[in-house]
Parts: sequence; structure tokens; C-alpha cells
Amino acid sequence: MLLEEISEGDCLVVGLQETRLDAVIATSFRDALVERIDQGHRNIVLDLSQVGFMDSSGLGAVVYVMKHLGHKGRLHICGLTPAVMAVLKLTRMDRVLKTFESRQAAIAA
Amino acid sequence: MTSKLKLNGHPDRRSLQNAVDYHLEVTLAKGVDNANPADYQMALALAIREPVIRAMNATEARVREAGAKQIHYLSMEFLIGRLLANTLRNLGLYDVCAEVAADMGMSLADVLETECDPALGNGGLGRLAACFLDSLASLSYPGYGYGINYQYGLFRQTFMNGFQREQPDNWAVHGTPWHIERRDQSSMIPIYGRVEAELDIDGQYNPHWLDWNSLIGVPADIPVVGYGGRCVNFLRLYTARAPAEFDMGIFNAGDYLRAMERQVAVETVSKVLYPSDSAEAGRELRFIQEYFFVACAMRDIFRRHAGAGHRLDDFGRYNAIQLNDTHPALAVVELMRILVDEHSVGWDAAWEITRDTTAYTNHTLLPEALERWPASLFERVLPRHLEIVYEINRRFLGEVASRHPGDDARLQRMSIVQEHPCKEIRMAHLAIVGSHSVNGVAQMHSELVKKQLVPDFYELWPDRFNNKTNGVTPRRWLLNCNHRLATLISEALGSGWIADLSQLARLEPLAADGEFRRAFREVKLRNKADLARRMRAATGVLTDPATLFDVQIKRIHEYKRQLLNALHIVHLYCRLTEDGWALPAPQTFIFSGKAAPGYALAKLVIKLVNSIARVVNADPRVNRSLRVVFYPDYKVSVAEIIVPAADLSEQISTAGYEASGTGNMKLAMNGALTIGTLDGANVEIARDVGAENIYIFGLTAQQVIERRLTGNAAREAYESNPDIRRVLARLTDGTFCPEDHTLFVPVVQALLDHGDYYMHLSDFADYAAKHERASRDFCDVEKWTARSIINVARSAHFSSDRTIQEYAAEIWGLRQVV
Amino acid sequence: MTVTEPLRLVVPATLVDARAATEKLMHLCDRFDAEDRALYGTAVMEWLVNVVKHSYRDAQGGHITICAVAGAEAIELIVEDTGRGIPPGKFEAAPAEVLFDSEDLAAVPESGMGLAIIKSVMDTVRYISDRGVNRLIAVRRWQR
Repeated sequence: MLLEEISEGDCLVVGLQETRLDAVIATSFRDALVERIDQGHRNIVLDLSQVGFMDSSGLGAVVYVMKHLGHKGRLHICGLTPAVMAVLKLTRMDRVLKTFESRQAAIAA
Repeated sequence: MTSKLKLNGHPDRRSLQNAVDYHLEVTLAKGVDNANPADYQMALALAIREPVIRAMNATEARVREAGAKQIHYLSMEFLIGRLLANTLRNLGLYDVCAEVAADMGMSLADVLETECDPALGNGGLGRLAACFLDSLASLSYPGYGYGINYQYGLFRQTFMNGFQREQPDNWAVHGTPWHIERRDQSSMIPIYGRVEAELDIDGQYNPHWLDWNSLIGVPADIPVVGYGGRCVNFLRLYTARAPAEFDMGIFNAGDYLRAMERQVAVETVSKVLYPSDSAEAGRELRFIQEYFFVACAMRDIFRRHAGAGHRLDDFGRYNAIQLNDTHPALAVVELMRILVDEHSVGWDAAWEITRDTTAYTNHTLLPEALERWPASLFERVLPRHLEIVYEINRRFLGEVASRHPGDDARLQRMSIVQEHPCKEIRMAHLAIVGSHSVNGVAQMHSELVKKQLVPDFYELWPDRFNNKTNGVTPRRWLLNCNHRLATLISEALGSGWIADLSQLARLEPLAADGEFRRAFREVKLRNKADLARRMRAATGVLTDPATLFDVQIKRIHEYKRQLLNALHIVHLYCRLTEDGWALPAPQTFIFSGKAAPGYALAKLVIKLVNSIARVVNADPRVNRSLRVVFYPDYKVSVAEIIVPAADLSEQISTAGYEASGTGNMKLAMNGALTIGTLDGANVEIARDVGAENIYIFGLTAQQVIERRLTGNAAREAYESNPDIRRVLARLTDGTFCPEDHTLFVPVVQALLDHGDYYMHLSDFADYAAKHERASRDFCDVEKWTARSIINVARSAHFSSDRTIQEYAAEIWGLRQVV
Repeated sequence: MTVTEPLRLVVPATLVDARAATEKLMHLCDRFDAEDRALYGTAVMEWLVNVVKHSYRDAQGGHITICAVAGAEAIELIVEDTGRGIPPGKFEAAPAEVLFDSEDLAAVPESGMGLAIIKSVMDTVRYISDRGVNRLIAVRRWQR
């Protein structure tokens, strides 16, 4: 599971370099982000522009990460493809996850 | 052109005619010219079916809109009988249909005769369920029956050389228009497999039922048309099928064969009705049948509950379930399983719902008739259910132990799980523990249930026990089967009695009216003439309608004592041929009923009656005074022709054995006088019609018990009564069995050597004496007719409408939906 | 559009093979628009993952049999496994939608959404188990 990580001010921008955020990689993805959070990162921008497929394991991992941050941090998601957006809408997670049109917008917020 | 038949008001002849023509021509592809009565019956049924189904849907919609509580009556048997005539009467369409038939050159009565009468029950239990459905619909209660759609009903009885022969009753062979299949409402039923115990995340016990097989229950609905035609409920019967999803394997052609095998095995579940008292009744297939229909019913009830938008906690508020005997007792367990396993409801909440919803009706005092299933059977077939039974029992015994600490004997007696001699589940205990109400079916019976059958439970929960005396529907059992009498009554009283039988009381003053008596007698005579014709056609025996028609029509069983009746006939034969005595009034003795295939003694009694008949009917010395007929293949349609024609009704069970009886009520309602013991509902009938209008004889239940304790009641009767000695001698001297003198020895042995458990000999003298009195009384034609009228007038209490109103008010908490 | 040849696969019960099988099935779905195709794939993946994790409990050696037919009106799918299956009634009882209180962070689900997703995406779906064989049959029309 490949991640591209860039620091932008006090944000950590994580770009998932996989085409599918699914059960195969969900656990390692989650663990990687949890590690970053435990290292002190509070503001995370998750860029999913490479991701064309998501299942509930992947979604669950994202939710886990969001909960792990809790109120002390923020998780902003950008680069949502129509496929992934469709899954978020179906599961009504689009009301819970903070999504943005572009990486800049996600960082700025 | 489809039928535009409307039910309300009176559809005109024209639209009815059109509908019938349409179905003859289009549906059945028969021309109007080459249609026979059976075709016509089918076309008529199809024509009527459309508006009935619409009314059924409308009723369902009304019930849903009213958010009304519903009763689900679970029974292994529903003896509904022929449907078309009853439906026409309830819709008020009988007469117009008769006209339409006449226009086509047919008699409606002949047409109606061609309808199949499926024997989907053994006797009283099944017929009670059917009468209840009729009353529920006629009183506009939301009430539904759930059962099994047996392919083969109770065997068809024929006689060969006087012996009963059993043949399969493949009733649906000719197709029936009254079954509306509802594939879309199929239920998937798990069975077999094993349970793996797990603890889930919260440390809770999480049972996982694995490796189960699937049965699919496909329902077919039979509309139940209430009197007046407005309320039409349904009886939902399930057929077992293998899951279609497995008919074709994904890859392998070999799967197809396996699928076929699977199909054959599965479909045996709803194939055959088990005759009661049979050894097979203890077998696995019967157990599966009981589970199958209960599981299908519960699935369906839940689905309808959810479909109406109700919450799960309100299940008990909107649903009542009645267990007709212990056969559906698994409903208690299945309800718990669905709530706890499938809907994750906590045990206590689920138990409250279960008890709130469920009620149990006991139908027997015979301890050997109380169902017990081996725990090993449960383990194999319903592993998860067994666990639930154990848990129910554990908590139940905990409750008992806290009330009666240290009383281990009581715990053993009351436990749902019997440990010795083998581990078995006592279904009656399960039913009682899981229900909020336990009722018997006649006052005396309900008392005996409390005092004798399950006194420990009565002590624990006295408020749960109550009585609901059985009843019969006055539509089928008076309006429909005895239309002549119904017309006479309506001419005198108006037709209000049909929906309110208490109005029959107004008939009583007419007993003093000579003109009314004459008309009443005329009706009875015509009914008897019809029966005489039928008996001639069915058995070849010629009978005279002017004689006293004495009938005993019920299952053949020792406790019902057809044998006592037979012994008495032999006694009369002896008196006539040896004592130079004459019968005050000539009599025709009519028997009808089936013996369970494995019940040797009962089958021997049938042979005895037939043998007596053969001798008596051919003997010129007696055959003007005495005739005996055994009408073959007893079923609802046979009862419908015998009941209206009876003068004397034999209800002679050993006191303390017949829970209620319902034949007694039908016969009294149609003007027969009863000769009977103080057993079951006879007690209440005697109380209502008055001692002078009934012939009560024999030991009371208490006396039976005392007599039995003396140990030699039979010998004593034998030694002190020369009539008895003579009768028994005739049974073994070849008078009735020239080919084999030893044929009836087992009967004599049962009476003499094995203690005459059912007290035939002890009751013999009193029985014979009362019979003689009845025969003399019959000669006073006017007096007899008056008493006959009084029996009708005072039989109102025995309408199943009254019974259902009691259930609805006291057990189910239902209200009518009009 | 005519009916294509049925796609038949037998795959080992692992997550990686589940992914591969899902991709193959998605190739059949050219009659969907991009979003519907993604949702369909997600629904299929949900079920296969369910089979791997719960029916086979991540054990080695299990197989999943898949048969799919892209018909004129709809795509029909049958997935068969011989694992422990879902207990009676659970499939039917599972909600057909993912429901939660979006105000309460702690209550947002991380798992258990699979059956809801399948039930929402498919037009008809039946699960039936018999004699150790568990079968899911799902139909989704091209046009809703």
C-alpha cells in the first residue's frame, strides 16, 4: 500500500497511490494513518484522486481514522472520483466526512 | 368478457350466468352443451371466486387501516369440507345459482355433490378449527388459520368383507379453484444442522446455527367467507418445496440429480396427514410437519406485522396466536428464536412478548395422548430450538423452585424436560409455560385439566386456566346442511337466528303448536328419506325413514364406545329372536367413522358392526324392527347428510374421556335427542335442554374412577347380568362370524380378561334401559317432536359464534372490524 | 443487445482473489454508467469479502464459485460458497440501508455496512443456504 506524503504548513497531505481502497489494503492504510496521528499530526488532508473504487472496508478505515483524530484534529478529504462519491452518498457518509473540491481547498480549510 | 359479479346486494341472474358461461367456455374449454355437473361446479366456483377474492383483499385492507389486532389460529388440521354450497349460502347466492343451474338443465344440488371433500383432518379437532374460522369471519374478527396443505388427506375408507380398507385420498387430483397460491409469500425454513456457540464482542452468548437445510413453504390461501359476505378472511396452508435456487447447479450436471432427490425428500413434508393414534405419529416426519407449519406461520405473521408498519415491541399488541392442541407448541420456541436470534431482542423482553401473544387449548385428558418428543430428535432436527427449550425450562424451574424450595419431586413433575425413562420434551408443559391462557373445551373438561391433568400448573398459575366450551357453526350445521329446517325456522322467526343463535329460544313455545310440530316432523321425515336413499346407494341396505334413526358418527375409538352400541344391538337381536319381545319402535342404527390404520381393536369393532348388520338386515324375524348400516368413508360431507336425519344421537363415551365432543351439539341443533353419558359437553347440553329432553345414563367420571379401583367391575357385571352373558356368548359362538368363531375373541377378552378399561359392561344395563325408554317414547310422536323442537330451541349456547366471542373477549382481546 | 456468455469463475477465498473477481465482473458491466458500475462493483466486493471473512473466517483452502450473466435487461449473479454461512433469518433481517445518527461521531459505523450496500444496489437479492452450500442470487437491471 503506497502513500505519498507532503507537509503543507501544519497539514499533512496524504495521497493514496492505489486505484482501490478496499478490504485488501484497508487495514494497512488505517494503521499507517493511525501511526502518523500518533506521531503528532493533527490536520490531515487525504487525497483520493487515484482511487476509483472503494468498499465498506476502505470506508470503515477512513471513519476509524477520523474517530482516532477526534475533536483535537481534522480530516479533510479531496480528489473524490464520481465512483467513490457514489459510495459515500449511498452510505450517507457524505454528511459525516468533510470533503473538498480540490487539494488547495482542503488545505486552506 | 370477465365476470363483473358483485357480491353485495343480489347479483342478477344475467351476470351470474355470463360469468359461469365465460368460465365454462374459456377457462375450462367446455361448450355449454357438453358440460357435465362437475364442469358446471368448477365454472360456478370460478365465477364466485372472483368477487370473493376481491372481498378478501378489501377485508385485509380494512383490517390494516384499522390497525386491528389479529388472531392467528394454528392447527395441524382444518376439516373444512366442501366449500361451494356453504359459500353460496353465506353470500346469499344459493337461490339465484339454483335458478341459473336450472336454466342449464341441472340441479344445483347434484352439481354441488361433485365437489371434492378433502379429508384434511382426523375428526373433531380439525372440524372445530374450521367452525372457528367460519365464526371469526361471520363475526367480522380479523382471524386467520395457518396449517399444512396436505396432498393426501386421511385415507379413503372402503369395506372389504366387512373390514376397513384404507386407500389414499388424493383429493386435489381434480384441481380445486379455492386454493390461491401465493408464491411471492413463501417462507424459507431452516432445519437440521448444528449450533456453534460463540461469544460476541460484548461477551454475550452468540449461537450460530450452521449447516442447516432449507425448506421452502409455499402458501395457498383458502378464502373463508363470513355469513353476509362482507368479511372474508383466509386460511393459509403451506406446501413444502425444495429451494428452487438449488434446482440447477451452477456448473455440474450431477447437481440436477441431487436437486431432484432433494426435492423428493422435501416434498414428503406436506404430503400426508398422519392418522391420529398411529405409531407413526411419533416419527420424525410428523415432528418436521409440526415445525414446518409453525415456522412458516411465524415468518408470515412477522412479515405481515412489519408490513403494517408496526414496531417489534408491539408484536403482542397486534397479534394473538392460538395453539390448537400441542401440535403447534413449537410456536413458543420459534417465536423466541426469531426475536432473540434474528432480531436481537433480549431474552426477558422476548419472553414477555411470547407469553403475551400465545394461548393454548387442551383437547384431551388422556395422558398418553399428550405429545412428547425425544430430546435426541430435537438435537438432530432443531438443534437451536432445543437450546431454547432448555433455557426456557431452566428459568421456569427456577421460578418453581423459589416458590417451593426443596421440592424436587415437583420440579421433576413439572419440568418441560422429562429425564426418565428417556429424555423427552413434554410439549403440553411447554405450551402451558409459554402461554398466558390455557383452556379446556367444556366445563367438565376444563375442571379436570386443572384438577387432574396438570394440577401443579394450576396451583402455580391459577389465573391462566379457563374454559371455552366448544361450539359448531350454525351456518354449515343448520343453514347449509339442513336447509329444510332452516327455512322452517326462518319462516317462524325471521332469519336473525343465523347470525345470532340465541334467537332460537323463540322456537320453544312452538313446541306446543301442533301445526308447527307437523311441519317439523315433515322436515325430519324428508331428511331421513334423503338419507335412506343415500344409504341404499352407498351400502345396498334398505332402510325405512319411518323408523327411529339412531346415529353414532365419529372416529372409532374404545373410549367412544361404538362397541357398547354394538353390544346393545346384539342384545336387541337376542331379545327379538329368543325372548319373543318386540321393539316398541322399529330402529335403524347408523354408524359412520374411521379407525386409525394401526388400531387393531377399533378395526375389529368396525368388522363387528358390519357383521351384525349383515346378519340382522337379512334375518326376516328382526329386519322389520331392526336395521344396521355402516356408512363408509365418514367425512364432513357424510356428516352433513346424516346429522339432519337423526332422531337419536349416541354420545356414549366413558365419562371423563371425551373432552367436549361437537357431534353432540350438531345433532341436538338439528333436532335429535341425545342418549349419552355425563361426559364432555353432554353435561352442558343436558343442563340446557333439560333432563326430560335427553337420556342420560351410566357412570359419572368420578364413579368410573372408583369402579376401576375395585378391580373386578367387569366380572361383577358379567356374573350378575344374564343379558351381558348372552350377548358375549353370541360374539363367540359364530352367530356373527360363521367363517371364524374366534374372530371377535379379542373383543371379549378386552371386556372380560383385560378389565374392560372403558366400562362397557358396567354401563350396559343402564344404557339398555334408557334405550328401551327412548324406543317407547318415540311411539308418542307428538311428544317426541315437541322434545325434539326443544332440543333445537335450547341449543343456542353451542354456536361457535358464542365460543369465539368468549375467546375474543377473554383471551385474545380482539375487536371486530366492520 | 444480446445475452453474453455466462462468466464462470472459481476463485480461492482470499481478499486479493475477491478483488480480482470483482474486477472481472465489472468488465461485464459496460451497460452501466460509471457510477452505477462502481456501485455494482462495490456491492459484489462486499459480498465476496463477507464470504472470505465470515463464512470462511479467513481460513485457508476455501473456494468461491461465481456465475454471472449479463442479460438483455439485467445482470444476474450467483455466488456460492461452502463456508459456515449466515444464520437463518439474519440476511433478511439486516437493514437495507445504512442508518446512523450523523451528529454522534462515536456512533458512525466502521463496519457492518456490507449487507445494506448489497440490498441497496441490487434490485433483488436472495440468500439461501442448504446442506452446507450457501448461495447468493442477485439481480440488477441496467436501467432502473
